[in-house]
Amino acid sequence: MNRHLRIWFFPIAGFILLVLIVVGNWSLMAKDSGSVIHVWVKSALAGQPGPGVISYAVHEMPDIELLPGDILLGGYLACSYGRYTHAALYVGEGEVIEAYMDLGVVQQSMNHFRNYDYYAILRPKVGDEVKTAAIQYAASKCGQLFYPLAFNRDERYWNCTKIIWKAYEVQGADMDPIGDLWLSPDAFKGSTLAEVLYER
Amino acid sequence: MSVKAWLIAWGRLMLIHLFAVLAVWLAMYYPGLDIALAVLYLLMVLLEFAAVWQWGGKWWQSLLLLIVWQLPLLVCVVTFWSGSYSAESILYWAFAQQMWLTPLLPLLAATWPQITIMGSVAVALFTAIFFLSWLLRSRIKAVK
Repeated sequence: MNRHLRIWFFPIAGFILLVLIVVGNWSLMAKDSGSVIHVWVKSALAGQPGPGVISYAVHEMPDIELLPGDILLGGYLACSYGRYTHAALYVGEGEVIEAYMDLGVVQQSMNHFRNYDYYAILRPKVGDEVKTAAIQYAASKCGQLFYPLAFNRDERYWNCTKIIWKAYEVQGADMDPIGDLWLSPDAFKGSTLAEVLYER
Repeated sequence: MSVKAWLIAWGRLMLIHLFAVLAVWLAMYYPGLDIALAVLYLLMVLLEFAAVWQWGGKWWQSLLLLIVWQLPLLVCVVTFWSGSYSAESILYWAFAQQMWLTPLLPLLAATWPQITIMGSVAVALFTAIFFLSWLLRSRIKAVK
C-alpha cells in the first residue's frame, strides 16, 4: 500500500460509510422522526453536549416492589439526549444489569440510582417468560465492552440502552418502533410496550 | 532523520489515526467491516514505522515518534494505573480512552473490555507493531 493511499484510505472510507449510513437511514434525518439525533443536536447547539451534571445528592427510593425485567431510568440535570441519562435492567434481589463506560456490561447493586436527580420505573408489558429470557440474554453479555456510540446492529459493543433494548428485541418485544441508530433512555419511557410505574 | 521529516511522519500517523477513529466507528454499523478496517489500520501503522526506518530514522527518533503519537493513550493509561482520578472524572477518562482506541476496539472487544487493562494492551500492541516494523524494515517497501 503506497504512501498516498495510506493517507487517503480512512478519510475516503469514512466519507463513504457516512454517506451510506445517512442514505440508509434517511427517514431518521427528518426533524419530526423522533430520532435521538435531533435531541442531541439541539442540546449540543445550546452548549450542553454531555451526559449531564453528575449529582451526589441522595434521594429516597419509592416504596414500589420491583420485579425482574423492570427497567430503571436515572437522569442528571442538563443531559443532552433527554431527561434520562442511564438505563438498567432489574434482575431481582436489588441488582441490575447495566452497561457502564468503565465497567462494560455488569451486574451490580442498584443503590447508585439514589443519586440520580430523575428516576423512573418502567414495567414492560410482556409475559414473565419473555422477561426471564431477556434477563438471561443480558446476563450472557456481562463482561462485554461498553462503547457510547455503539450502533444497534451488532452484538459486540454495548451501551446502557442497547443492552436492554436488544435483550427484549431478540424475544420479539421491540421497544424502538422508529428503528433509531441509537436509543436514548427516554425512548423506553415513550414505548407502548412499557408502563410507567413511577417517575420523579 | 531531520526534524521536518520527523514532524511529517508524526503528522501522517495522526491523520491516519484520527480518520481511522471515524471510519472504524462508522464501520461498526456493518458488523465485520470494523474488524477488517482495524486490521488495515494496524497494517498502515506498521508500514508508516517501516518507512521511518527506511528514511534513516534512528532508534530514539522512532521511539519518540511512537510515544508522542500515542501520548493521549499513555496519559490515560498512567492515570488509570496511578489511580489519580476522582469518582466523577473516571467516566471522562474512560470516554477519552475509548474514543482514542476506536481503531483497535474491534480487536480488543472480544477479550479485554476492562478499561484499565484495555489501554495497557493497546500500548503493548503498538509497541509490538513498532518492533515488527524494525524487524521487517528491509523487507517491505513502505517509502513509496
